[in-house]
This record gives sequence, C-alpha cells and structure tokens, in this order.
Amino acid sequence: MPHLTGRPPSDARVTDEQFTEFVHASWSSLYRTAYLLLGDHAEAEDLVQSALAKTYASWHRVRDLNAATGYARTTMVNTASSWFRRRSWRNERPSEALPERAHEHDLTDRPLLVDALAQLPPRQRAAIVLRYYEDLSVAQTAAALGCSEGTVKSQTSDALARLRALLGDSVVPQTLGAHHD
Amino acid sequence: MTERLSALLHDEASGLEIPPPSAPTVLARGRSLRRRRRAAGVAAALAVVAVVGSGAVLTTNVLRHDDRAVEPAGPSTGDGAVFAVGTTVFYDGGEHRTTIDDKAIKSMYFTSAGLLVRHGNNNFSDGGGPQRFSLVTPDGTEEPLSVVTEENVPGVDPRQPYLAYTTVERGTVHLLVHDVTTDENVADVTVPGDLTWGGWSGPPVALAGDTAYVGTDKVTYAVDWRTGEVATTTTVPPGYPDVQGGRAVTATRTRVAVVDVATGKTLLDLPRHGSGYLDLSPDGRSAMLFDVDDNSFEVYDVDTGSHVTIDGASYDYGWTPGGDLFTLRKHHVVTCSTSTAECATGSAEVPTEGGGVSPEDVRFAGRSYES
Repeated sequence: MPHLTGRPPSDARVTDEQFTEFVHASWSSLYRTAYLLLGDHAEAEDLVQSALAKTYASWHRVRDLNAATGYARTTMVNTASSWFRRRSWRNERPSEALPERAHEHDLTDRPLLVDALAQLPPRQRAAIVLRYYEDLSVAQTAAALGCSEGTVKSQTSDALARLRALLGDSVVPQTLGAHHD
Repeated sequence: MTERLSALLHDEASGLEIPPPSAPTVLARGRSLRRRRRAAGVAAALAVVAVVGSGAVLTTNVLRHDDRAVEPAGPSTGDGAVFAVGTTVFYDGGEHRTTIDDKAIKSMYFTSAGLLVRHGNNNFSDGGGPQRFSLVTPDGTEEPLSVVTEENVPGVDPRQPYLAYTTVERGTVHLLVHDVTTDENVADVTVPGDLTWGGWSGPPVALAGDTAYVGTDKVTYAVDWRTGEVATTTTVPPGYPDVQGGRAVTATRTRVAVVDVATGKTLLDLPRHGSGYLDLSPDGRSAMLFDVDDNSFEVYDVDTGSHVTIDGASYDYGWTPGGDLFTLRKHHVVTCSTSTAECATGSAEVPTEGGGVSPEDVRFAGRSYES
C-alpha cells in the first residue's frame, strides 16, 4: 500500500483577525531581516508585505499560526532571492563610495556596516545576513537561497574578504573563511 | 570568531526605525494573490478539458485540482514557446526569461503548477551526477525542490502538479510521487521489477493521471499511485514508457503507432521508414514523425489522422504548451501551427549564450533528452 503523505484539510482557513494579529507580531522581525538583505526601507517594506501576502494566500500549506512565522521568513528569503535574479540587483553596487580599507574602525559607526554591506553583490550579502544575523547553517542558507552548500561557502568567503577590507580585521578576523560552519 | 560581525548586524537591525505594518494592505494583496491562483488553477484545468475534450472524466480532474488548491499554472499554460539557452529559461515565446541557479539545465517539463526544470552540474541526462529540480512559477520565480535524483527518467503529466520517479532501496523499486507545489512526497509505492533497466538508476516512469507507468526489462507496470494497486499492462511496451496526454507511442520494425493507454485502442498507425519514430505533443493530440529527411517532416493529428508538412528538420523543433511547433531561427522564435503549417516569427531576440557551463546549449521544454 502506498504511503500517502498527510496534508492539511483543504478548507483550512485563518480569520482576518488572526492573520492581522500575526502580521503585527511578525512584522518587526521580518522587516529587520528584509532591510539587512536589501538595504532599502521601501524595498524592505515591499518584500515583507509580499512575503506575508504569499503566506496568507498559501495558508493551506502553513497549517497553523505557530508555523506561520517560519513559513513567512522562508518565503521572504526566497522572494528576495528571486528579486536578486530578476531585477537590477544582479548589478553589483559601485565600490567607489568607500575606501578599500577602514583604518580605524569605529564600532559605534553603524552606517559604516550598512555601507559595507551595500558593496557586496546581493547574494553575497544575503549569505552574510542569513549566516551571521539569522544564524543559519551553511546547509540552511543553501536551502534558503536555492543554491549548493559550496556556493554558499564560496560566496560567504568572498563576502567576508570584502568586508574585512572595508571594516578591518577587528570586525572580520583573518581566520574567518569558507571553512566556518 | 564571528561574534563581532554578528553583533554589528544585530545592532544595526535593532536600531532600525520600523514602519508600522499595514495589515489591510497585506490582506488585500493576499486575497488578490489567492484569487489569481484559483482563477489560474481553474483556467488551467478547464484548458485541459478544452484540449482533450473528454468531459465526463476531466470534470473530475477540475474538481480535484480545485480541491487541492493547486498553484497557479505557470509559463507552461501560455501558448508561447518555452526553451532554455544555457541556464536561462525563456517562456511566453521568448518574451520573458528567468535564470536557474545551477550549472546547467538538463530538461524541462510542463506541469499544471508551472514549468518543472531538471538541472545539475552539466546538461547530461544521465551519468552526470545529481539531478536537481526547480519549479518556475507564473511570476518567473524559481522555487528549488528538495528532490534530487540520479540517472532517472522522471514522469510528468502536464495536467497535474506531480513529479514521479523511481528509487531502488536494497533491490526494491519504489515509485515516488512528489507534489511540486508543496514540495512533499504524496505517494511511495513498491513496484516489482528486474534490475537492469538499461543503465538507469531505477526504472523510467511516465505519468498519466492517477496511473504511473513503470518500465522494466520485460513488462511495464501500471501503478495507481493513489491506491497502491500495481498491475501489468501490454498497452505500453516494456522498457521506456513513452506516454503523453494519456497516449503512448509504440513501434515495430515496420510500423509506428499511438495508442490510448486507458482503452488500448490504436489511434494512429503509420508505416515506419528506417529508424523513424513518433514524438507526441505534451497533450498527446499531435505526433511529429521524426525521420532522416532534413528537408521537411510530417505532423499528425492523432485523432483524425490528418497531417501537415513542416519545412526543416524534425529534430530542430519543439512543442509549445498549446500543441504547436516552434524552432529558433536567426535569434528569433518561429512558431508553426500544427493544423495549418503556417509559421510566424516572434519579435523577441534570443541571445546566443545564456550562462552556465554550457552557455550555448538549447533545450526545448517538453522534449525528452534521455539517452
């Protein structure tokens, strides 16, 4: 006999009130990640709205509110990954805005980090955010970005080298590299 | 060692000014998306009814698709050509494109949920390492699936959102059916069979509705993957099950034919010249006679037996989702009607290279590239 995978009932629905509550509860966390991924407030807001709208439309997959945040976060990263490929995100940002190396890095100078992230190609930036902000493993990051673990490792390594040049060894020590997991 | 970078990222995030959420906007977008998906799903199912014209049976399919909240029909439901150059997928006759995040595309299949792309480290159909899959959804988004096969011939029914394939565990053949919209297996059926299969990792599979055809050395099994019932069939020849739209291709030394897999009735029967063979359109309505003549070839209406002649070599053409033929000529898509043989050149310009390890490699969706 076949094993038929269980699926949620097709009439599974969430009420507007429940979903509104979920939007308010998850918004800030999703927005922070979105902003780190994209570096633009308007784009970040659009991305989070898109992810939440997709979550609403796909509620039959979500099953329950407890799983919704994870589903929305995964959807958001997938959507961002798609944007990277389809929009002008594929064009690397100009690097003239920053010096090749920050001589005396000031840890309180938060805009410097954002500017440094902006120097990374989108998928390198995503790898950094997912690995070191979301604290995902290489495998989880690969799954989220839809690429191989080797690609994640190489992109992370390249990104760290670039960030090291921009932010200094005190933020990105020389020992960090692709082997880190 | 990443603590400082991690701390900076968290500091940056926590210091952000967060705009207030607009739940009504999110809900409105979500409802709109849900409506589009339902409309597209029903439209895709209705299109199947219109194409195949078997009302009683396919009405059931419409209801099933709707019940399961199938994702919107993807590029495959458009009428335009779908093909890949390198790792770039072109759809809607080349008007739109998306890129697959891998080294090479191996083949592409039409499903009711969108375009299913098989890709990997190279464009080999077998012997090339892991075969990965992604679904290209209607908005051009690539959604990687968890399925990884190796040297397998998968089965896909354009009317359904499923990928069927086999694995072998300790000598036992398993037929797996994977829902590409949920990225979950929905069936795992044990199938008897011999262990050679012409060098593939498992027996090749074709899918037609609830039935998966699993080709082994001496017999083809017809598996009802919903109930787990396994039976042998003589309608589909042993070996490689070539089934499209519920019709199968058969061949002897002197004849080539198309049969209805449900009834066994022969729908089209033609003399065979040399090593010629029939290639069915994804919906099974038309059949292209592959032959050695590079100057022209014939395309048959399977139900009426009428045919038209198309200029060029048969192997240079692929099927559009709507059942017409297309080819690439001088960087443009040329689409030819299978009912009138009239051809039209599209306006979209197709680049010579599309990325990946085989950037100039062209693959037509719906075409078998098994070796």
